[in-house]
Amino acid sequence: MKIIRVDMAAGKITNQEVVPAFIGMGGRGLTSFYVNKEVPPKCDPLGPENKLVFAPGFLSGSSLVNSSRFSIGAKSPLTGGIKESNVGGTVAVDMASIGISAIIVEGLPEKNRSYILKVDKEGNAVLLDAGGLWGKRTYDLVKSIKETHGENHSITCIGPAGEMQLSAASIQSTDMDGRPCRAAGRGGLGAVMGSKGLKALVVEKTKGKSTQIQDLEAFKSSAKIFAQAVMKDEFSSEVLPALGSAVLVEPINAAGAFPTRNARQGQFEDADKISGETMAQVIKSRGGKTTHKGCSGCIINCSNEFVDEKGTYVTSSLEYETIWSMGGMIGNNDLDAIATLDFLCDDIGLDTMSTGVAIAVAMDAGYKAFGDAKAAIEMVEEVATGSDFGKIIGHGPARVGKHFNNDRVPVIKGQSIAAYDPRAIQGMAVTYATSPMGGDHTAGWVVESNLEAFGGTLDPFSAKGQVEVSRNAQLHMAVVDTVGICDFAQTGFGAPDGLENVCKMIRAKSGKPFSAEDWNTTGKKIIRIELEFNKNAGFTKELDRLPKMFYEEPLPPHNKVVVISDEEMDTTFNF
Amino acid sequence: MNLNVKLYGTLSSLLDDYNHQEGLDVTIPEDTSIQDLLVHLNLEPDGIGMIFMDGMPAKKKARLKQGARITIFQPIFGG
Ligand code: SF4
Repeated sequence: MKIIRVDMAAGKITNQEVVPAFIGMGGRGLTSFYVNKEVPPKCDPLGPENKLVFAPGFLSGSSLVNSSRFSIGAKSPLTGGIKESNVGGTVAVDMASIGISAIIVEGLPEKNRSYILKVDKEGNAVLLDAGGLWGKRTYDLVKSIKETHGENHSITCIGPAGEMQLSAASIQSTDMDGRPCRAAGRGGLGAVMGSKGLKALVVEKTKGKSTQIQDLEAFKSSAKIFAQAVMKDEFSSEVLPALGSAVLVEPINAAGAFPTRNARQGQFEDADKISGETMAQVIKSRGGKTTHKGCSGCIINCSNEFVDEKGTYVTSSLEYETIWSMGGMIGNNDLDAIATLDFLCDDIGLDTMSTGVAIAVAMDAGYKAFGDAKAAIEMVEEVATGSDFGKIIGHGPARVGKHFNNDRVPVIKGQSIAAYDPRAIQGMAVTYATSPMGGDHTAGWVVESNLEAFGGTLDPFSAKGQVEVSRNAQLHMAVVDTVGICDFAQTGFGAPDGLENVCKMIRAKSGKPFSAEDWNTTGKKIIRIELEFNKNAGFTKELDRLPKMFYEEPLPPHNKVVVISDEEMDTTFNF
Repeated sequence: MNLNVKLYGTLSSLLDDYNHQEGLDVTIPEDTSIQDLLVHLNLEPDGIGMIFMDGMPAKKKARLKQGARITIFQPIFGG
């Protein structure tokens, strides 16, 4: 396995070995390690010292199902701290199969130069002039690249938002059907890619190849056990394929934890119009696809293909978080408008969450009425025009709040919360506040331990036990994001001795010892590295707090506020 | 007593004649619990993640209230 370094200033590409201390790492572990080691923490995220690191998960490219997450890391222009955002699609498997552990993009190009980075199936990388590709939206871009280079490529790219270096810019990556609908949305990494003048990373597909495994037999038998557990679990084998992650709309709304109208309410009265159940019906009646494979090696198929009344494609992988940010959060009950907004964000290269929340903050300030879907679409389109106001929206909620002098901005370290209100799920308050990534739901999703009261676990309105579940979830997720397993396939850990079974695969791949204990230490090691970077960037524990709206405004219908004290927050990473 | 029950996710496919708009009207003896309701509906507790009674999370042993709206969800997982 090798590292490819791309110097954008000199246009030079070099191949290297992975640093010995980090052999056996992939994904987030690798991106965070390189960012912390090589990026000066106080540097300008859009300047020459920042580096953009792409790394497939450690188990990507193997026979393990649902292991195709692709991590992208850098210093974030949105949070000012370290960032890892990961995306599915096909690129992780292709890169890992060629034998590439990471691509590190450094330096800034000469003024007005832009490139695409092409990697062929032998692993040779070249920088090509982007020429007329610069300026294109992602769907059009992907079409052009395929016309020139052939269908057979995974394309990871930015749209106009990334080119303009806006802080809510995403990096989009192509799915199984070659559409740029999968997003590494968070943290404004698209802006970093834009600052490097890199329009797209184009990786040739490698049919039949797979990543190197030391003990193939042992790996295969564990991978089989994992896949069986995924298929045995109702949620991953039945619910997700039928309804996608949108199945969460109704239960989270029922729990009063669905942030509505810029988190003024915890329930959206029209949730049933935008629910997973309704979406599935709509898609079916129009001849779209409710079950769709988005990523290589997926056996869950949580993705979908949303079509309009005429049956024409609108967008793919319309997910829960987007249905929230472009639906309830802006008071919009029009599922078709949500689908259009999802497509526009993918096409312009914007994080649907940061963008939806930015619109919500603008609406909250009275710029337009909540529920005005047409205005929301216009705002997103305006981002692409590069107008002053478009740029304000494209920089995300905090910038919008400043512009309108509205302090009701649900961000932590500059990054917006996701579709779970921390006042109704206190554990999410801990994750949002303390994750080195800023307001982030995937960093430590503790919804089930808070809401599955039926079995009797935690009280979602009480602080009790919340720090601990969030800590454990965050440490666990750091490693999940390192091995590259999809969040939804975590039901595979439900196999008997599930964690040990995954550790077996790590051992079989690397040929080195790796125990369940090592899993935990690895999680700690990664979080420590990330905290260290943030500290050196100037972060203090005062940033591990939620905005005051969450402590002061009771959230209907339960009328609760966040009750986790600052002292408790500060014990989250006391290891 | 009478209750109105709504099922979410793929649970509704387990019951015949279930209409999601209207929910299911259920008549059940007085002084029964959520657990009894599940037995009454023939729903496996393992396949259930969350139950809300009139919008509040309800545990297995919670007593049912006359006229309550019960919503039943599958276990969820995400991120
Ligand atoms: S479950 Fe969804 S996100 Fe996960 S690998 Fe499959 S399609 Fe991709």
